[in-house]
Amino acid sequence: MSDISLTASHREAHDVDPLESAEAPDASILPIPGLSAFLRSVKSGEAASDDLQRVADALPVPLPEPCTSSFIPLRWRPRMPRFELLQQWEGCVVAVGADSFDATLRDLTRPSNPAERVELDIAELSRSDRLRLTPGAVFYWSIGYDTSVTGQTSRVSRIQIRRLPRWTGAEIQEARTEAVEMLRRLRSPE
Amino acid sequence: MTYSSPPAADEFELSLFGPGKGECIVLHLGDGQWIVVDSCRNPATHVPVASEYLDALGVDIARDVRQFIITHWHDDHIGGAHEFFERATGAEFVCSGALGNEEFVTLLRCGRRSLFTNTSSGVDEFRYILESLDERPGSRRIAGRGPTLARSDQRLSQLTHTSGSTSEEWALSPANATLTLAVRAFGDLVPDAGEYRNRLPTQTANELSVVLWVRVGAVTALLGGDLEQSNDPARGWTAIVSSSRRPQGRASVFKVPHHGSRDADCPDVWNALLEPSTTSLLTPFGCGRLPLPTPSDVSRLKARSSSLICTAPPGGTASIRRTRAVDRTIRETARSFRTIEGGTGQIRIRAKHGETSANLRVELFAGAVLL
Repeated sequence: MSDISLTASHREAHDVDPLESAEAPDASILPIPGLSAFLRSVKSGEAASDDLQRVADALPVPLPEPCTSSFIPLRWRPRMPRFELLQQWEGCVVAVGADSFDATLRDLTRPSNPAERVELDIAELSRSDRLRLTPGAVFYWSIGYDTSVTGQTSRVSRIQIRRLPRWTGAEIQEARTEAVEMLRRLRSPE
Repeated sequence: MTYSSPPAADEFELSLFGPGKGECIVLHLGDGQWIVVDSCRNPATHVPVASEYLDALGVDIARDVRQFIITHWHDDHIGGAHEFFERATGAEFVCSGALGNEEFVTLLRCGRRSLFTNTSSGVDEFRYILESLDERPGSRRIAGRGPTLARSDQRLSQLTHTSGSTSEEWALSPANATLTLAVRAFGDLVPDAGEYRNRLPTQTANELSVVLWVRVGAVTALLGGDLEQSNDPARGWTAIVSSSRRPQGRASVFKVPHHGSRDADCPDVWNALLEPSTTSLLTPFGCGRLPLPTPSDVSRLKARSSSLICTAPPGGTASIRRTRAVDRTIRETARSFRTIEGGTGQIRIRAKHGETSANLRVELFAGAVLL
Protein backbone atom coordinates (compact mmCIF):
# COMPACT_ATOMS: atom_id res chain seq x y z
CA MET A 1 0.00 0.00 0.00
CA SER A 2 1.52 3.28 -1.04
CA ASP A 3 0.78 6.37 0.95
CA ILE A 4 0.31 9.78 -0.45
CA SER A 5 0.70 13.22 1.02
CA LEU A 6 -1.98 15.72 1.78
CA THR A 7 -0.51 19.02 0.69
CA ALA A 8 -1.57 22.45 1.81
CA SER A 9 -3.10 23.11 -1.60
CA HIS A 10 -5.20 19.96 -1.33
CA ARG A 11 -6.47 21.03 2.03
CA GLU A 12 -7.46 24.43 0.72
CA ALA A 13 -9.82 22.69 -1.62
CA HIS A 14 -11.91 21.54 1.36
CA ASP A 15 -13.21 25.02 1.95
CA VAL A 16 -16.37 23.95 3.76
CA ASP A 17 -14.72 21.42 5.99
CA PRO A 18 -15.01 22.33 9.70
CA LEU A 19 -11.54 20.93 10.18
CA GLU A 20 -10.24 23.81 8.13
CA SER A 21 -11.16 26.19 10.90
CA ALA A 22 -8.85 24.37 13.27
CA GLU A 23 -5.38 25.65 13.79
CA ALA A 24 -3.29 24.62 10.80
CA PRO A 25 -0.15 22.64 11.47
CA ASP A 26 3.20 24.13 10.64
CA ALA A 27 4.20 21.45 8.21
CA SER A 28 2.95 21.93 4.66
CA ILE A 29 3.07 18.22 3.94
CA LEU A 30 1.29 15.71 6.15
CA PRO A 31 1.87 12.03 5.37
CA ILE A 32 -1.31 10.07 6.13
CA PRO A 33 -0.96 6.29 6.05
CA GLY A 34 -3.67 4.52 4.05
CA LEU A 35 -5.09 7.69 2.49
CA SER A 36 -4.72 6.50 -1.09
CA ALA A 37 -6.52 3.24 -0.39
CA PHE A 38 -9.22 5.13 1.45
CA LEU A 39 -9.74 7.50 -1.49
CA ARG A 40 -9.98 4.55 -3.84
CA SER A 41 -12.63 2.93 -1.67
CA VAL A 42 -14.60 6.17 -1.47
CA LYS A 43 -14.49 6.48 -5.25
CA SER A 44 -15.71 2.95 -5.72
CA GLY A 45 -18.41 3.37 -3.07
CA GLU A 46 -16.92 0.67 -0.84
CA ALA A 47 -15.55 2.83 1.97
CA ALA A 48 -15.72 0.97 5.26
CA SER A 49 -15.82 2.42 8.71
CA ASP A 50 -12.38 1.04 9.66
CA ASP A 51 -10.89 2.80 6.59
CA LEU A 52 -12.41 6.02 7.81
CA GLN A 53 -11.19 5.47 11.32
CA ARG A 54 -7.66 4.78 10.12
CA VAL A 55 -7.57 8.05 8.20
CA ALA A 56 -9.20 9.92 11.04
CA ASP A 57 -6.56 8.64 13.45
CA ALA A 58 -3.84 10.00 11.23
CA LEU A 59 -5.29 13.49 11.08
CA PRO A 60 -3.67 16.14 13.29
CA VAL A 61 -7.08 17.30 14.60
CA PRO A 62 -9.90 15.23 16.15
CA LEU A 63 -13.04 14.35 14.23
CA PRO A 64 -16.12 16.28 15.34
CA GLU A 65 -17.85 13.05 16.39
CA PRO A 66 -17.11 9.34 16.03
CA CYS A 67 -18.09 7.82 12.71
CA THR A 68 -19.07 4.18 12.99
CA SER A 69 -21.43 3.79 10.06
CA SER A 70 -20.33 2.95 6.55
CA PHE A 71 -22.08 6.14 5.38
CA ILE A 72 -19.46 8.77 4.55
CA PRO A 73 -20.48 12.32 5.49
CA LEU A 74 -20.40 14.68 2.55
CA ARG A 75 -17.73 16.83 4.15
CA TRP A 76 -15.32 13.93 4.03
CA ARG A 77 -15.69 13.19 0.36
CA PRO A 78 -12.75 14.48 -1.64
CA ARG A 79 -13.89 17.28 -3.92
CA MET A 80 -13.78 16.47 -7.63
CA PRO A 81 -14.14 18.85 -10.56
CA ARG A 82 -17.78 18.94 -11.60
CA PHE A 83 -19.61 19.96 -14.78
CA GLU A 84 -23.29 20.83 -14.64
CA LEU A 85 -24.63 20.50 -18.18
CA LEU A 86 -27.20 23.11 -19.16
CA GLN A 87 -27.37 22.58 -22.90
CA GLN A 88 -25.86 20.24 -25.45
CA TRP A 89 -26.06 19.97 -29.22
CA GLU A 90 -24.70 17.53 -31.75
CA GLY A 91 -23.32 19.50 -34.67
CA CYS A 92 -22.21 18.64 -38.14
CA VAL A 93 -19.74 20.84 -39.98
CA VAL A 94 -21.06 21.99 -43.34
CA ALA A 95 -18.34 24.44 -44.37
CA VAL A 96 -14.92 25.53 -43.12
CA GLY A 97 -13.65 29.06 -43.67
CA ALA A 98 -10.36 30.81 -42.87
CA ASP A 99 -11.10 31.37 -39.19
CA SER A 100 -14.63 30.09 -38.70
CA PHE A 101 -16.82 27.16 -39.60
CA ASP A 102 -20.52 26.68 -40.26
CA ALA A 103 -22.51 23.82 -38.82
CA THR A 104 -26.00 22.56 -38.37
CA LEU A 105 -27.06 21.66 -34.85
CA ARG A 106 -29.41 19.11 -33.37
CA ASP A 107 -30.57 19.79 -29.83
CA LEU A 108 -29.69 16.86 -27.57
CA THR A 109 -31.11 18.56 -24.47
CA ARG A 110 -34.55 18.98 -26.02
CA PRO A 111 -34.62 16.71 -29.07
CA SER A 112 -38.03 18.04 -30.12
CA ASN A 113 -36.49 21.44 -30.88
CA PRO A 114 -36.02 22.24 -34.59
CA ALA A 115 -32.61 22.22 -36.24
CA GLU A 116 -30.36 25.27 -35.86
CA ARG A 117 -27.42 26.71 -37.70
CA VAL A 118 -24.31 28.26 -36.19
CA GLU A 119 -21.08 29.91 -37.26
CA LEU A 120 -18.27 29.37 -34.73
CA ASP A 121 -14.67 30.50 -34.48
CA ILE A 122 -12.09 27.82 -35.21
CA ALA A 123 -10.29 29.19 -32.15
CA GLU A 124 -13.01 27.58 -30.02
CA LEU A 125 -11.53 24.17 -30.87
CA SER A 126 -8.54 22.48 -29.28
CA ARG A 127 -5.39 22.23 -31.38
CA SER A 128 -5.94 18.53 -32.08
CA ASP A 129 -9.58 19.04 -33.02
CA ARG A 130 -8.61 21.71 -35.54
CA LEU A 131 -6.80 18.99 -37.51
CA ARG A 132 -10.08 17.10 -37.76
CA LEU A 133 -12.16 20.07 -38.80
CA THR A 134 -13.60 19.19 -42.17
CA PRO A 135 -17.09 19.17 -43.73
CA GLY A 136 -18.91 16.19 -42.29
CA ALA A 137 -17.07 16.27 -38.94
CA VAL A 138 -19.46 15.68 -36.06
CA PHE A 139 -18.96 17.56 -32.80
CA TYR A 140 -20.63 18.12 -29.47
CA TRP A 141 -21.20 21.62 -28.14
CA SER A 142 -21.88 21.72 -24.42
CA ILE A 143 -22.73 24.73 -22.28
CA GLY A 144 -22.74 24.45 -18.51
CA TYR A 145 -21.24 25.37 -15.18
CA ASP A 146 -17.79 24.06 -14.41
CA THR A 147 -16.90 23.73 -10.71
CA SER A 148 -13.21 23.34 -10.04
CA VAL A 149 -11.57 21.41 -7.18
CA THR A 150 -11.26 24.72 -5.36
CA GLY A 151 -15.02 25.20 -5.55
CA GLN A 152 -14.92 28.01 -8.05
CA THR A 153 -17.73 27.98 -10.58
CA SER A 154 -17.60 29.36 -14.08
CA ARG A 155 -19.91 29.27 -17.09
CA VAL A 156 -18.21 27.47 -19.97
CA SER A 157 -18.72 26.49 -23.61
CA ARG A 158 -16.97 23.31 -24.76
CA ILE A 159 -16.75 22.11 -28.34
CA GLN A 160 -15.29 18.68 -28.98
CA ILE A 161 -15.09 16.86 -32.27
CA ARG A 162 -16.26 13.28 -32.12
CA ARG A 163 -13.42 10.83 -32.69
CA LEU A 164 -14.07 7.74 -34.70
CA PRO A 165 -11.72 5.14 -36.16
CA ARG A 166 -10.09 5.77 -39.50
CA TRP A 167 -11.36 4.03 -42.62
CA THR A 168 -9.46 0.90 -43.55
CA GLY A 169 -8.72 -0.27 -47.08
CA ALA A 170 -10.52 -3.53 -46.36
CA GLU A 171 -13.72 -1.74 -45.40
CA ILE A 172 -13.74 0.31 -48.57
CA GLN A 173 -13.01 -2.71 -50.74
CA GLU A 174 -15.84 -4.55 -49.01
CA ALA A 175 -18.18 -1.62 -49.74
CA ARG A 176 -17.17 -1.72 -53.42
CA THR A 177 -17.89 -5.42 -53.66
CA GLU A 178 -21.28 -4.96 -52.00
CA ALA A 179 -22.10 -2.11 -54.40
CA VAL A 180 -21.39 -4.24 -57.46
CA GLU A 181 -23.54 -7.05 -56.06
CA MET A 182 -26.39 -4.75 -55.15
CA LEU A 183 -26.46 -3.08 -58.56
CA ARG A 184 -26.43 -6.48 -60.26
CA ARG A 185 -29.44 -7.61 -58.22
CA LEU A 186 -31.37 -4.36 -58.74
CA ARG A 187 -30.81 -4.41 -62.50
CA SER A 188 -31.65 -8.04 -63.05
CA PRO A 189 -35.22 -8.79 -64.22
CA GLU A 190 -37.15 -11.10 -61.90
CA MET B 1 -63.71 22.51 -49.06
CA THR B 2 -61.62 21.82 -45.98
CA TYR B 3 -57.94 20.97 -45.53
CA SER B 4 -58.64 17.26 -45.29
CA SER B 5 -61.02 17.04 -48.26
CA PRO B 6 -59.31 14.95 -50.94
CA PRO B 7 -59.37 16.16 -54.53
CA ALA B 8 -62.11 14.84 -56.81
CA ALA B 9 -61.28 12.06 -59.26
CA ASP B 10 -61.17 14.62 -62.09
CA GLU B 11 -59.10 17.15 -60.18
CA PHE B 12 -55.40 17.91 -60.39
CA GLU B 13 -53.61 18.88 -57.19
CA LEU B 14 -50.13 20.14 -56.48
CA SER B 15 -49.17 20.66 -52.85
CA LEU B 16 -45.77 22.11 -51.92
CA PHE B 17 -44.47 21.74 -48.35
CA GLY B 18 -41.42 23.48 -46.91
CA PRO B 19 -40.58 23.97 -43.24
CA GLY B 20 -37.29 25.84 -43.76
CA LYS B 21 -35.05 22.86 -44.25
CA GLY B 22 -36.67 20.54 -46.68
CA GLU B 23 -39.07 20.35 -49.52
CA CYS B 24 -41.76 17.93 -50.62
CA ILE B 25 -44.32 18.01 -53.44
CA VAL B 26 -47.45 15.89 -53.49
CA LEU B 27 -49.30 15.59 -56.83
CA HIS B 28 -52.70 14.14 -57.61
CA LEU B 29 -52.98 13.37 -61.31
CA GLY B 30 -56.55 12.09 -61.20
CA ASP B 31 -58.55 8.95 -60.29
CA GLY B 32 -56.75 8.64 -56.95
CA GLN B 33 -53.28 8.36 -58.52
CA TRP B 34 -50.61 10.19 -56.55
CA ILE B 35 -46.98 11.09 -57.08
CA VAL B 36 -44.67 12.27 -54.31
CA VAL B 37 -41.57 14.27 -55.19
CA ASP B 38 -38.83 14.57 -52.53
CA SER B 39 -39.34 14.28 -48.79
CA CYS B 40 -38.97 16.28 -45.61
CA ARG B 41 -40.14 15.83 -42.07
CA ASN B 42 -42.55 17.96 -40.10
CA PRO B 43 -40.18 19.48 -37.48
CA ALA B 44 -42.89 19.29 -34.83
CA THR B 45 -43.81 15.62 -35.27
CA HIS B 46 -40.73 14.30 -37.15
CA VAL B 47 -43.10 12.44 -39.46
CA PRO B 48 -42.59 12.76 -43.25
CA VAL B 49 -44.96 15.52 -44.38
CA ALA B 50 -46.24 13.44 -47.33
CA SER B 51 -47.34 10.68 -44.95
CA GLU B 52 -49.10 13.14 -42.67
CA TYR B 53 -50.90 14.89 -45.49
CA LEU B 54 -51.99 11.79 -47.39
CA ASP B 55 -53.16 10.20 -44.13
CA ALA B 56 -55.20 13.34 -43.40
CA LEU B 57 -56.85 13.01 -46.81
CA GLY B 58 -57.56 9.33 -46.22
CA VAL B 59 -55.33 8.17 -49.07
CA ASP B 60 -54.11 4.58 -49.04
CA ILE B 61 -50.38 5.25 -49.43
CA ALA B 62 -49.46 1.65 -50.23
CA ARG B 63 -52.02 1.40 -53.02
CA ASP B 64 -52.45 4.90 -54.41
CA VAL B 65 -48.93 6.37 -54.58
CA ARG B 66 -47.73 5.30 -58.01
CA GLN B 67 -44.35 7.03 -57.99
CA PHE B 68 -41.91 8.31 -55.44
CA ILE B 69 -39.33 10.60 -57.00
CA ILE B 70 -36.21 11.93 -55.32
CA THR B 71 -34.86 14.80 -57.42
CA HIS B 72 -31.44 14.68 -55.78
CA TRP B 73 -29.89 13.40 -52.60
CA HIS B 74 -29.24 16.57 -50.65
CA ASP B 75 -30.35 16.48 -47.03
CA ASP B 76 -33.10 19.03 -47.52
CA HIS B 77 -34.86 16.91 -50.15
CA ILE B 78 -34.61 13.48 -48.62
CA GLY B 79 -35.49 13.76 -44.92
CA GLY B 80 -37.75 10.85 -43.98
CA ALA B 81 -37.69 9.49 -47.54
CA HIS B 82 -37.03 5.94 -46.44
CA GLU B 83 -39.83 6.05 -43.86
CA PHE B 84 -42.26 7.20 -46.51
CA PHE B 85 -41.06 4.67 -49.07
CA GLU B 86 -41.57 1.85 -46.56
CA ARG B 87 -45.27 2.72 -46.66
CA ALA B 88 -45.47 3.34 -50.41
CA THR B 89 -45.02 -0.32 -51.20
CA GLY B 90 -46.66 -0.06 -54.61
CA ALA B 91 -44.63 2.92 -55.77
CA GLU B 92 -42.01 3.00 -58.47
CA PHE B 93 -38.87 4.67 -57.14
CA VAL B 94 -37.39 7.27 -59.48
CA CYS B 95 -34.16 9.14 -58.90
CA SER B 96 -31.57 11.09 -60.83
CA GLY B 97 -29.74 9.08 -63.49
CA ALA B 98 -26.56 10.37 -61.87
CA LEU B 99 -27.18 8.09 -58.90
CA GLY B 100 -27.13 4.75 -60.68
CA ASN B 101 -23.38 4.31 -60.87
CA GLU B 102 -21.07 2.08 -58.90
CA GLU B 103 -19.25 4.96 -57.21
CA PHE B 104 -22.46 6.31 -55.71
CA VAL B 105 -23.60 2.91 -54.45
CA THR B 106 -20.11 2.32 -52.99
CA LEU B 107 -20.53 5.59 -51.10
CA LEU B 108 -23.88 4.34 -49.79
CA ARG B 109 -22.33 1.06 -48.68
CA CYS B 110 -19.62 3.02 -46.85
CA GLY B 111 -22.46 4.80 -45.06
CA ARG B 112 -23.41 1.47 -43.50
CA ARG B 113 -20.03 1.48 -41.79
CA SER B 114 -19.94 5.12 -40.72
CA LEU B 115 -20.98 4.23 -37.13
CA PHE B 116 -23.27 7.18 -36.67
CA THR B 117 -26.64 6.69 -35.13
CA ASN B 118 -27.90 10.20 -34.57
CA THR B 119 -26.47 12.25 -37.40
CA SER B 120 -28.01 10.58 -40.36
CA SER B 121 -27.68 12.08 -43.79
CA GLY B 122 -28.94 11.76 -47.33
CA VAL B 123 -26.49 8.89 -47.69
CA ASP B 124 -28.36 6.87 -45.08
CA GLU B 125 -31.80 7.66 -46.49
CA PHE B 126 -30.74 6.58 -49.96
CA ARG B 127 -29.04 3.47 -48.70
CA TYR B 128 -32.15 2.39 -46.79
CA ILE B 129 -34.29 2.94 -49.89
CA LEU B 130 -32.00 0.84 -52.07
CA GLU B 131 -31.94 -1.87 -49.41
CA SER B 132 -35.74 -1.80 -49.34
CA LEU B 133 -35.83 -2.10 -53.13
CA ASP B 134 -33.36 -4.95 -52.95
CA GLU B 135 -35.67 -6.85 -50.62
CA ARG B 136 -38.92 -5.85 -52.33
CA PRO B 137 -40.45 -8.21 -54.88
CA GLY B 138 -40.90 -6.79 -58.38
CA SER B 139 -43.95 -4.55 -58.56
CA ARG B 140 -45.42 -2.65 -61.48
CA ARG B 141 -41.92 -1.75 -62.49
CA ILE B 142 -39.86 -1.89 -65.56
CA ALA B 143 -37.33 -4.71 -65.73
CA GLY B 144 -35.55 -5.21 -62.45
CA ARG B 145 -36.49 -3.79 -59.09
CA GLY B 146 -35.23 -0.32 -59.76
CA PRO B 147 -34.58 2.42 -59.20
CA THR B 148 -35.77 4.09 -62.39
CA LEU B 149 -32.98 6.42 -63.40
CA ALA B 150 -34.33 9.69 -64.75
CA ARG B 151 -32.45 11.69 -67.37
CA SER B 152 -33.20 14.56 -69.70
CA ASP B 153 -36.10 14.32 -72.14
CA GLN B 154 -37.40 11.07 -70.70
CA ARG B 155 -41.13 10.44 -70.40
CA LEU B 156 -41.81 8.89 -67.00
CA SER B 157 -45.55 8.27 -67.35
CA GLN B 158 -48.56 8.88 -69.54
CA LEU B 159 -52.13 8.28 -68.37
CA THR B 160 -55.66 8.63 -69.65
CA HIS B 161 -58.13 9.45 -66.88
CA THR B 162 -61.79 8.51 -66.54
CA SER B 163 -62.60 12.18 -67.17
CA GLY B 164 -61.18 11.74 -70.67
CA SER B 165 -58.27 14.03 -69.90
CA THR B 166 -54.71 12.85 -70.23
CA SER B 167 -51.65 13.47 -68.12
CA GLU B 168 -47.98 13.06 -68.78
CA GLU B 169 -44.85 13.43 -66.77
CA TRP B 170 -41.36 14.05 -68.10
CA ALA B 171 -37.90 14.35 -66.68
CA LEU B 172 -36.05 17.29 -68.26
CA SER B 173 -32.75 16.70 -66.47
CA PRO B 174 -30.06 15.67 -65.59
CA ALA B 175 -28.36 16.24 -68.95
CA ASN B 176 -26.10 13.53 -70.37
CA ALA B 177 -23.05 15.75 -69.92
CA THR B 178 -23.80 15.89 -66.20
CA LEU B 179 -24.01 12.12 -65.79
CA THR B 180 -20.38 11.67 -66.84
CA LEU B 181 -19.17 14.25 -64.36
CA ALA B 182 -21.24 12.67 -61.59
CA VAL B 183 -19.24 9.44 -61.60
CA ARG B 184 -16.04 11.36 -60.91
CA ALA B 185 -17.72 13.52 -58.28
CA PHE B 186 -19.00 10.50 -56.35
CA GLY B 187 -15.63 8.80 -56.68
CA ASP B 188 -14.09 11.78 -54.89
CA LEU B 189 -16.58 11.43 -52.04
CA VAL B 190 -15.82 7.76 -51.35
CA PRO B 191 -13.47 7.86 -48.35
CA ASP B 192 -9.83 6.86 -48.69
CA ALA B 193 -8.12 4.35 -46.42
CA GLY B 194 -6.65 6.16 -43.42
CA GLU B 195 -9.10 9.03 -43.59
CA TYR B 196 -10.97 9.95 -40.40
CA ARG B 197 -14.52 8.65 -40.35
CA ASN B 198 -17.03 11.47 -40.56
CA ARG B 199 -20.61 11.95 -41.50
CA LEU B 200 -20.55 11.13 -45.20
CA PRO B 201 -21.01 14.35 -47.13
CA THR B 202 -23.77 15.05 -49.63
CA GLN B 203 -21.79 17.68 -51.45
CA THR B 204 -22.39 17.19 -55.10
CA ALA B 205 -23.59 19.87 -57.43
CA ASN B 206 -27.27 20.68 -57.70
CA GLU B 207 -26.99 20.06 -61.43
CA LEU B 208 -27.62 16.36 -60.74
CA SER B 209 -31.16 17.30 -59.80
CA VAL B 210 -34.16 16.02 -61.73
CA VAL B 211 -36.44 18.68 -63.21
CA LEU B 212 -39.99 17.50 -63.87
CA TRP B 213 -42.60 18.59 -66.38
CA VAL B 214 -46.08 17.50 -65.30
CA ARG B 215 -49.12 18.17 -67.50
CA VAL B 216 -52.60 17.22 -66.36
CA GLY B 217 -55.35 18.29 -68.75
CA ALA B 218 -54.67 21.89 -69.67
CA VAL B 219 -52.53 22.72 -66.65
CA THR B 220 -48.77 22.22 -66.71
CA ALA B 221 -46.33 22.52 -63.83
CA LEU B 222 -42.56 22.88 -64.12
CA LEU B 223 -40.92 21.51 -60.98
CA GLY B 224 -37.39 22.89 -60.90
CA GLY B 225 -35.86 20.73 -58.15
CA ASP B 226 -32.59 22.38 -57.18
CA LEU B 227 -31.17 22.59 -60.70
CA GLU B 228 -28.73 25.46 -61.07
CA GLN B 229 -27.43 27.28 -64.10
CA SER B 230 -24.12 26.18 -65.65
CA ASN B 231 -21.49 27.87 -67.76
CA ASP B 232 -21.53 24.78 -69.97
CA PRO B 233 -24.50 25.05 -72.39
CA ALA B 234 -24.79 21.25 -72.37
CA ARG B 235 -25.65 21.28 -68.67
CA GLY B 236 -27.98 23.06 -66.26
CA TRP B 237 -31.01 25.08 -67.34
CA THR B 238 -29.53 26.09 -70.68
CA ALA B 239 -29.47 22.44 -71.75
CA ILE B 240 -33.19 22.16 -70.98
CA VAL B 241 -34.10 25.36 -72.79
CA SER B 242 -32.14 24.37 -75.91
CA SER B 243 -33.41 20.77 -76.04
CA SER B 244 -35.55 19.93 -79.07
CA ARG B 245 -36.76 16.66 -77.55
CA ARG B 246 -38.49 18.03 -74.47
CA PRO B 247 -42.29 18.37 -74.48
CA GLN B 248 -43.48 21.57 -76.06
CA GLY B 249 -45.80 24.06 -74.44
CA ARG B 250 -45.52 26.35 -71.45
CA ALA B 251 -46.12 25.80 -67.80
CA SER B 252 -48.33 28.04 -65.68
CA VAL B 253 -47.10 26.76 -62.32
CA PHE B 254 -43.38 26.95 -61.52
CA LYS B 255 -41.70 25.42 -58.50
CA VAL B 256 -38.75 27.78 -58.44
CA PRO B 257 -35.42 25.90 -58.30
CA HIS B 258 -33.03 26.01 -55.38
CA HIS B 259 -35.12 28.21 -53.10
CA GLY B 260 -34.99 31.14 -55.51
CA SER B 261 -31.20 31.56 -55.45
CA ARG B 262 -29.48 33.57 -58.16
CA ASP B 263 -27.33 30.51 -59.03
CA ALA B 264 -30.45 28.79 -60.28
CA ASP B 265 -31.78 31.73 -62.26
CA CYS B 266 -31.94 31.42 -66.03
CA PRO B 267 -33.93 34.21 -67.73
CA ASP B 268 -34.48 32.02 -70.82
CA VAL B 269 -36.58 29.63 -68.75
CA TRP B 270 -39.14 32.37 -68.22
CA ASN B 271 -39.20 33.14 -71.93
CA ALA B 272 -39.20 29.61 -73.32
CA LEU B 273 -40.89 27.34 -70.76
CA LEU B 274 -43.30 29.46 -68.77
CA GLU B 275 -46.50 31.36 -69.48
CA PRO B 276 -46.42 35.12 -68.98
CA SER B 277 -48.79 34.78 -66.03
CA THR B 278 -46.98 32.15 -64.02
CA THR B 279 -47.74 31.26 -60.44
CA SER B 280 -44.34 30.76 -58.83
CA LEU B 281 -43.92 28.66 -55.71
CA LEU B 282 -40.87 28.23 -53.56
CA THR B 283 -39.61 26.97 -50.23
CA PRO B 284 -37.16 28.81 -47.98
CA PHE B 285 -33.77 27.38 -47.02
CA GLY B 286 -32.23 28.27 -43.68
CA CYS B 287 -29.12 26.06 -43.69
CA GLY B 288 -26.87 28.22 -45.85
CA ARG B 289 -24.72 31.14 -44.84
CA LEU B 290 -27.50 33.41 -46.11
CA PRO B 291 -31.11 32.32 -45.71
CA LEU B 292 -32.78 31.86 -49.10
CA PRO B 293 -34.51 33.48 -50.82
CA THR B 294 -32.71 36.76 -50.18
CA PRO B 295 -34.63 40.05 -50.53
CA SER B 296 -33.09 40.55 -53.99
CA ASP B 297 -34.18 37.04 -55.03
CA VAL B 298 -37.72 37.87 -53.97
CA SER B 299 -37.68 41.12 -55.98
CA ARG B 300 -36.37 39.36 -59.09
CA LEU B 301 -38.93 36.55 -58.90
CA LYS B 302 -41.85 38.87 -58.16
CA ALA B 303 -41.04 40.91 -61.23
CA ARG B 304 -41.37 37.80 -63.41
CA SER B 305 -44.35 36.06 -61.82
CA SER B 306 -48.01 36.90 -61.66
CA SER B 307 -47.84 35.73 -58.05
CA LEU B 308 -44.99 34.48 -55.88
CA ILE B 309 -45.82 32.27 -52.91
CA CYS B 310 -43.43 30.86 -50.30
CA THR B 311 -44.22 28.03 -47.87
CA ALA B 312 -42.81 30.12 -44.99
CA PRO B 313 -41.65 33.70 -44.55
CA PRO B 314 -38.11 34.05 -45.96
CA GLY B 315 -35.34 35.07 -43.57
CA GLY B 316 -35.52 32.39 -40.94
CA THR B 317 -37.76 31.77 -37.99
CA ALA B 318 -37.87 32.97 -34.39
CA SER B 319 -35.08 31.76 -32.12
CA ILE B 320 -35.72 29.14 -29.48
CA ARG B 321 -35.78 30.60 -25.97
CA ARG B 322 -33.43 28.93 -23.53
CA THR B 323 -32.16 29.85 -20.07
CA ARG B 324 -30.41 33.20 -19.68
CA ALA B 325 -27.08 31.52 -19.04
CA VAL B 326 -27.33 29.46 -22.24
CA ASP B 327 -28.55 32.38 -24.35
CA ARG B 328 -25.69 34.55 -23.03
CA THR B 329 -23.11 31.88 -23.83
CA ILE B 330 -24.49 31.44 -27.34
CA ARG B 331 -24.18 35.20 -27.92
CA GLU B 332 -20.63 35.23 -26.58
CA THR B 333 -19.48 32.14 -28.52
CA ALA B 334 -21.25 32.11 -31.89
CA ARG B 335 -20.73 34.55 -34.72
CA SER B 336 -24.22 33.77 -35.94
CA PHE B 337 -26.91 31.47 -34.66
CA ARG B 338 -30.41 30.88 -35.96
CA THR B 339 -33.24 28.41 -36.10
CA ILE B 340 -33.50 26.70 -39.46
CA GLU B 341 -36.94 25.19 -39.35
CA GLY B 342 -40.29 26.71 -38.55
CA GLY B 343 -43.81 25.48 -39.14
CA THR B 344 -44.51 23.26 -42.13
CA GLY B 345 -46.16 25.65 -44.55
CA GLN B 346 -48.16 24.28 -47.45
CA ILE B 347 -49.26 25.76 -50.77
CA ARG B 348 -52.06 23.79 -52.39
CA ILE B 349 -53.20 24.30 -55.98
CA ARG B 350 -56.18 22.48 -57.44
CA ALA B 351 -57.84 22.57 -60.86
CA LYS B 352 -60.45 20.38 -62.52
CA HIS B 353 -59.16 18.44 -65.51
CA GLY B 354 -61.04 20.58 -68.02
CA GLU B 355 -60.01 23.88 -66.47
CA THR B 356 -57.21 26.13 -67.66
CA SER B 357 -54.52 27.87 -65.68
CA ALA B 358 -56.86 30.84 -65.24
CA ASN B 359 -59.00 28.67 -62.94
CA LEU B 360 -56.35 27.54 -60.48
CA ARG B 361 -57.55 27.51 -56.87
CA VAL B 362 -54.67 28.39 -54.57
CA GLU B 363 -54.85 27.79 -50.82
CA LEU B 364 -52.20 28.58 -48.20
CA PHE B 365 -51.80 26.69 -44.93
CA ALA B 366 -49.67 26.95 -41.80
CA GLY B 367 -47.57 30.00 -42.47
CA ALA B 368 -47.29 29.95 -46.26
CA VAL B 369 -47.19 33.53 -47.52
CA LEU B 370 -47.88 35.48 -50.68
CA LEU B 371 -44.80 37.60 -51.26
